[in-house]
Amino acid sequence: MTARYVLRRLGGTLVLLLVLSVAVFALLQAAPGDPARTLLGPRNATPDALAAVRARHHLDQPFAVQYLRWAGDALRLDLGTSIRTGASVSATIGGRLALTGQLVGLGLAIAVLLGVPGGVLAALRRYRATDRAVQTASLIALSTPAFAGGLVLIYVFSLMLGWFPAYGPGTGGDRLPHLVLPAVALALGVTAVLLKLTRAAVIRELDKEHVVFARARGVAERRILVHYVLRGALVPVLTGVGLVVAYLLAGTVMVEQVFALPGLGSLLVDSVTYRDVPLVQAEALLIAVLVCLAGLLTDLAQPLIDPRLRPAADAPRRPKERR
Amino acid sequence: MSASETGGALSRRRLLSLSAAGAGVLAASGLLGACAPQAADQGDSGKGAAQGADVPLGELTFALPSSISSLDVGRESGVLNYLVATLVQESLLSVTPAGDLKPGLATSWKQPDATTYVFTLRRGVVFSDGTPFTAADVVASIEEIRDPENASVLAYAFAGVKSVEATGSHEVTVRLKAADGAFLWSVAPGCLPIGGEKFLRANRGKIGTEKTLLLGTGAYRITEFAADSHVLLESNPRWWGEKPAAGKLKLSFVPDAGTRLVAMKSGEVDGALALASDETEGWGSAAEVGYTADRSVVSLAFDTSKAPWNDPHVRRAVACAADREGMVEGILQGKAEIANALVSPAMWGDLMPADEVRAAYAEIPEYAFDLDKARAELKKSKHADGFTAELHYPASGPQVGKAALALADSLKKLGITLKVKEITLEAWVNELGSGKQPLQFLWYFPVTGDPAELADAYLNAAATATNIAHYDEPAVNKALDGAKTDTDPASRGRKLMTAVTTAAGDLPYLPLWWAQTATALSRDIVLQEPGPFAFVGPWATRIRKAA
Repeated sequence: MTARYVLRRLGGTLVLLLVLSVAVFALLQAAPGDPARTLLGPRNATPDALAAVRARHHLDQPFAVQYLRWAGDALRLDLGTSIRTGASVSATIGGRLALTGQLVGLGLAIAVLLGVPGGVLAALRRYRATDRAVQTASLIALSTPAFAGGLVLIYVFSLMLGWFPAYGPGTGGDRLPHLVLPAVALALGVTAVLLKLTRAAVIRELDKEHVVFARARGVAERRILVHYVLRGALVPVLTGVGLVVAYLLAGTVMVEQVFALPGLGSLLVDSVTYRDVPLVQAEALLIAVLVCLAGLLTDLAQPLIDPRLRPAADAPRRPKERR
Repeated sequence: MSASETGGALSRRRLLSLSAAGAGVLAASGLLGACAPQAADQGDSGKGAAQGADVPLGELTFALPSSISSLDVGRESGVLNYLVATLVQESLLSVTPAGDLKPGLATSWKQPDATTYVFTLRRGVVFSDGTPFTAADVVASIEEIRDPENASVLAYAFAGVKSVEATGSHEVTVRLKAADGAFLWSVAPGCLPIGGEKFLRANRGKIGTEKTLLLGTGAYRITEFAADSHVLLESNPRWWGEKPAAGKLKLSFVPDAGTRLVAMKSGEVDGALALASDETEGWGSAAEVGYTADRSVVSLAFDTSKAPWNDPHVRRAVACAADREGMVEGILQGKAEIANALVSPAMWGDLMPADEVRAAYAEIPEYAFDLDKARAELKKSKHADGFTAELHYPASGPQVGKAALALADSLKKLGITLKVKEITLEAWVNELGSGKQPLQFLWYFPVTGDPAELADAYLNAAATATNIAHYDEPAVNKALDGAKTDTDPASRGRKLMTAVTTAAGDLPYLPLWWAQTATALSRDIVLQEPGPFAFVGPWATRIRKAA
């Protein structure tokens, strides 16, 4: 894998981020309402006071100037202060990133640990009772909105069984029990997606000729499964895992509300409502970076797993395929 | 539990809190706090007597329906912000739960002339960090609010102030540009949180954040604040008042109604404050729920300068077609009071005794739900064949939207087409004063306990920025202007009452209901003296162990 490939992918990511930051900035400008008015409250909104607030937050300047001012600061890693609270944006986001990171991480772990083996199982038992049961369960999980699933989980595991706390992030050591229910709620839909993906990929591999041939040669079933089928199914599944990270991040908005967690999702909702430009910008970009990173990692991992996906220059010993 | 419903409501409620933020003025039922449990009027009357002994309570946890983003009410002045801040910061005057102004950090005050107020400050008071409290702190607190650089939400309360001076180590003199009968409310907790001079100067722009917190002289001090999560408080050992029974408080922000209920049922919280009154179904098994008037009003505003609303017959027709009883019973589960004036009866506080207020309100012409009468009124108007109108409601008020739809349904029978549309809270706020919509909802949550706050802003023709009905009635204007300069509470109260009741008869606004909010507390504790203003003061000091 050449460095050029990595650089090209990174360059593409940077361009994407730039476009995204302009788009978010423009969307916030186009949204109805006036942040200065919101800040002052309707009774104080005299023209002088409005002008003072606008000047202070540079809201009176043209779009391009506002954007460049923000971008310049951002490049120097100064994300500014929140218009709404006066707190530093990097501190505000930093505090929440950890929680949302843990939530998404745990959610992803649950989704992978349940979805992938479930998918393999369903594929091996395809069209049989086990497959139907697994598929039905995943259909239910897929069509349950995260907040509804969350409420059911709280009701059952918190109120009826008393196993987990109902809400809040917990402090220090007891963070994990507080995150189990939210992570499960968050992972429900994604688990189903991974399960379907894995099942389809494994079934496809099972039907491949080399698998049939291996079986004909009398290779042990376990070996066929691990070395032939799963290895082949790994790339599409891994791609799926990369993609669902974005879904998990989006899902935190609802899940954090239901479980009263102070994460990025709840912050984003507040900031957008208030048109707190510095915060929204920083958050949108952070989420974009996370999603892009997940995509990048997946893309970089694929050639490692499957030599056929390596760029041509990377495999000089292999002659080019002839058409 | 209907998941989709709870889920929807939670995000709306959340917005709601935001609303209350930038706009202390704008109402927001779900979060507005001045509610109280075991209310004397509606609640469980047997419980009112439960005055627990002064047993230490240790740490108590309460759920709040949405987060606050700043502890500083000058930055965000929603009801929940007050609920937190008034535990920590005090003001020159204090407000009793019933709405009477009483001494606070000022032990007494006099008014040598109509525009001058001299406050004598309490001696021996210290801030929770040990700094002694003096006149300089009061002056600094007011100046910080007045400074346009700070863009304080509370600036309007001091717009009429000419000067603020420390005329002694413990004396402050405030001079006004013109007499203002309601000025004392500006130095009460709703408008003037007092912080330490040095602290204010050193932390300009950062006060109320997670790192800087708040400094006050009050009953509690904040030890930790995490937006969207919680506020931790502990009782302030230096407070001049009596040591509260609850030594530590945790106020948790739990935006989802379903989660809140489970937290209450599983005992994770000791109570839930500022609940929407229509949310409390199902709470009875886990907690003692009390309802109190929260002073807010939901009303329609007709632009009387524009057709068809300039025709009194049309306004009367709409009034008769509005089934307010049905709205209160059906939409609000009876946890509200049918309104016939903009100003809630809870707002008259020390100006007029409650029975006189009720008697005066009883004189207001009644427009009961009667479609035949509505048809007759419409026939008398220039719009006998009906017309089409639009009505927008803020997304944060689903109950307001339901009321609008109910009204549209009745009006359809008269031949009036009412197009109801949900808009975002921010759009609604911007629309409110823009003059673009001839028919609007006015959903208002007063900051003070003075009727002039609503009456002067919405009924006086001189208040061009806020009088969205463009109501101009000389008798009302005269009464309101007279009340402004009147320093005698009783006669001022009578003038305001004249204005409010006269205007109510003319229907520039069609008040629908005065809202209530609910407080749910575990059966182990009680809140003494609940009332409409209970949460604009150190409410937690009145929590006792249940007898």
